[in-house]
Amino acid sequence: MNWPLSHATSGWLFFNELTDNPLAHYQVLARQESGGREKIIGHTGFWLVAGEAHIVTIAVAPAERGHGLGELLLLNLLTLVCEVAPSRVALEVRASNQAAHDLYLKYRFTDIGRRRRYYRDTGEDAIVMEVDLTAVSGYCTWLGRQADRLFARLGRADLAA
Amino acid sequence: MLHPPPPYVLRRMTPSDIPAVLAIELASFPRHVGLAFL
Repeated sequence: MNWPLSHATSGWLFFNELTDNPLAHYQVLARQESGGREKIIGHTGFWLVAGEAHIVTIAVAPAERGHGLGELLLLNLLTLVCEVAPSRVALEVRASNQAAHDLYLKYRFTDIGRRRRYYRDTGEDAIVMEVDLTAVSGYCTWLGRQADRLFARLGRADLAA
Repeated sequence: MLHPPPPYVLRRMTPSDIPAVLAIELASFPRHVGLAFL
């Protein structure tokens, strides 16, 4: 496996981000299970730099995909960003990750550039996307409505399970 | 922080979450590489 960073190195990077980087903000999505236990099924992170937010990571456990949980993580992140009112939110997404690209388009991100061979593991290009919160009227209010819709969907799915 | 319906919970990540987070990152490879910008 052509893993770009060792497991230990990745762990150290996360630990450093959580304990020694005041610009970094990370969240987890968990599912409450029987006995009060909690299972981590996704996570997000962003940096706030000079009034702008840069999304560092969004991931959902493979077995949990396809149920709107990636959207929940993105919605939560953008809601947190709205609370500190930055001007722009930016991210990079793999050119082949159409599902993620479509999700970002739904949340009003637009393609603003391409970083050639950005991903060291596969040499794949990254598409750079951005949403300017000051240019989209009522964006944070709109996020609230999206959250209501998604919560209703998640609640129905849980009842059906 | 949003409050999704049960059984889901959103909260800040803590150092004790790192093993579970790394497991997701590893399982997602190569589709997703966390902290690649570093």
